[in-house]
Amino acid sequence: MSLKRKTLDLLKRREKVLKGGGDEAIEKQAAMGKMTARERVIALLDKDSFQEYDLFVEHDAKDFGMDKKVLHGDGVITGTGKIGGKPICIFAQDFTVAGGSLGLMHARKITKIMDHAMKMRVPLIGINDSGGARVQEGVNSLAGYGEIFYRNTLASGVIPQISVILGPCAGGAVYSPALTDYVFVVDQISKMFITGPEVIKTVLGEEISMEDLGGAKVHSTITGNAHFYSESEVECFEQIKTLMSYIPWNNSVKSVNLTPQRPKIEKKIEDIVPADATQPYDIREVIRSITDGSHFFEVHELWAANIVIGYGRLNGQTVGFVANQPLVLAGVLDVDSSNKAARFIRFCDAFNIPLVTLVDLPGYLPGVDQEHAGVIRHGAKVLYAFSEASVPKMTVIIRKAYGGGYIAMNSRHLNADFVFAWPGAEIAVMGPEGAANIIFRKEIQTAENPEEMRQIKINEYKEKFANPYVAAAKGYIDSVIQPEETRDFLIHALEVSKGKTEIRPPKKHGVPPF
Amino acid sequence: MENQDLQYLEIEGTRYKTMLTKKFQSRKAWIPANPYNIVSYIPGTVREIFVEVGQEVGPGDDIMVLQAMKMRNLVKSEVYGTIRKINIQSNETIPKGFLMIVIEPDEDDENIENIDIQSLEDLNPLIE
Repeated sequence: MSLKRKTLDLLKRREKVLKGGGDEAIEKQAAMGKMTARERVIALLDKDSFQEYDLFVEHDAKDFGMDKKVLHGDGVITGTGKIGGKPICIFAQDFTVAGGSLGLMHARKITKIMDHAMKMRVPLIGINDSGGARVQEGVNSLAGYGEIFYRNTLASGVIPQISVILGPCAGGAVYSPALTDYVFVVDQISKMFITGPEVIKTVLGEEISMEDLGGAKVHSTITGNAHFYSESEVECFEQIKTLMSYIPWNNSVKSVNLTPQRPKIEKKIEDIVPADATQPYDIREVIRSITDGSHFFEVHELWAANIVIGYGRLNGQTVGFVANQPLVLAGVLDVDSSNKAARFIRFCDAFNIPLVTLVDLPGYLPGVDQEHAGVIRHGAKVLYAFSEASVPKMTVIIRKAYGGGYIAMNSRHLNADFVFAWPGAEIAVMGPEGAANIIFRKEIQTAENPEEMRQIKINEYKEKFANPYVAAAKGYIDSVIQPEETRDFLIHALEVSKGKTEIRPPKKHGVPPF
Repeated sequence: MENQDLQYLEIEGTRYKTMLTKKFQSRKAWIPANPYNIVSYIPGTVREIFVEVGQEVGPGDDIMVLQAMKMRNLVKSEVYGTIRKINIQSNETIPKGFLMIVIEPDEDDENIENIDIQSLEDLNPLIE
């Protein structure tokens, strides 16, 4: 055969495999409102940037009639491409081929591209759309999962790992997304669970739909397993591109700086925040009044909304924001918000993203449910994450900062680099009402008019402690600043922190309260 | 964001105007455990009932078998008393937290002073 004929033969073979599961299966995929794996990769990556590998990989399973089955690409597409002009590794499970089921060779294709991502120190994106383990391959398919999880773990903190759930992702398979940094879900398309509705019905007698058990809304509002929610696959890909624009490509480089922009001021920053610490406002308005172009890319927007986390830029440089949200549950810390903040802080620290903490919280959420859910351990994660973080750490105390919440929110005592406070900041062990009730209990009880006395004592306490100057007098706060100076102080702090180095005692790793 | 209405949340004597989450609003009040009310701690199927109404029981006596997660769980009495009510039947599938059997305490049982039997029984909305 001449080379020309051999080349023609290659093209023919390629054409066959590129069809995945064939026209009928592709039609079915479209009927479910889903793009095919290849369409997804092409839609997500920069134009004409995708190169596919392992197109001709075949399974070698023999049992249960598998020897007669041809599964193109073994149900997964792997390759390299670019996002925003920069290289990434990607895999996309192909539901049209045997339901995207994971057999040994399918898994080997994934682990090969993961190894490649690690060697090249580029982000890994996984698009999950799979019915689960390929039962005919038995323990080999379990081995495949395990090899993926192991690599997810080793890659954690080295390269960003992104999971996109665009179909079912059930049973053991969901542990790969759970081990990665960011999980994207799409309404009506994403389904994640450990045990499905059928098993739950058989074993426990409870009936529930897939959507109610592990749909996109459930994971973005109730469980917190998903970080980003969208209405369509196209919107989801846009979110991924935005995220990628903020984060660095691996743990040895920094995010790319963009041209600095002034915030678009619509409302003066001091007009956003009511002076009365019991009145709500949206902390995201404060963030947007500080950031370049007033852009703020929120992570976990729909879950544990009492804390706000996400990315913005200051003078062109990416920073991670962690901010109490007085609009929701008065901005308290609780089990969910602690978990949300702690993981984000650790991601930022792992990937050289400076942290900006905005503080306005009354403390921790009281309740039997919180205590019994282990708020001690979960709350401790925030302390651990902030203390452990060695990236530049800036804190602005906007209004109230009471008790353990004050300490937890990247206080000086956890080794923050810069702590600023607005003039209305109240830094104390607790709010004036609670404090007055304890300190002046006797005076209030024995007064002729206890209610009047209580008010007098509350005001007395407010005057003495509900300000930033007691803390400033001890050096716990570096500067009491005007609200409108916030952005400038933060930018200056970032600039002077560029060479920050912290030498810690050597250790294998810490033991955070997971 | 769920529930745009602003409400109040009290923390250490101060009332904060804020939005309450669905999760916060649907918190269940904590109920102390009552060994006289035998409640299903897991959904499952009743496989056997060893007692009848009016029967006297004591700590360690077998009460019933609740099958869940493919396991037959033998439920025993922790207290002395008389079976007052049986709300389940053999082979019935029941949800979690279902009040299955009520034991009437012996008058001389010292534990009884600490537990308010009447009010606790009202807690199960599934009982007629």
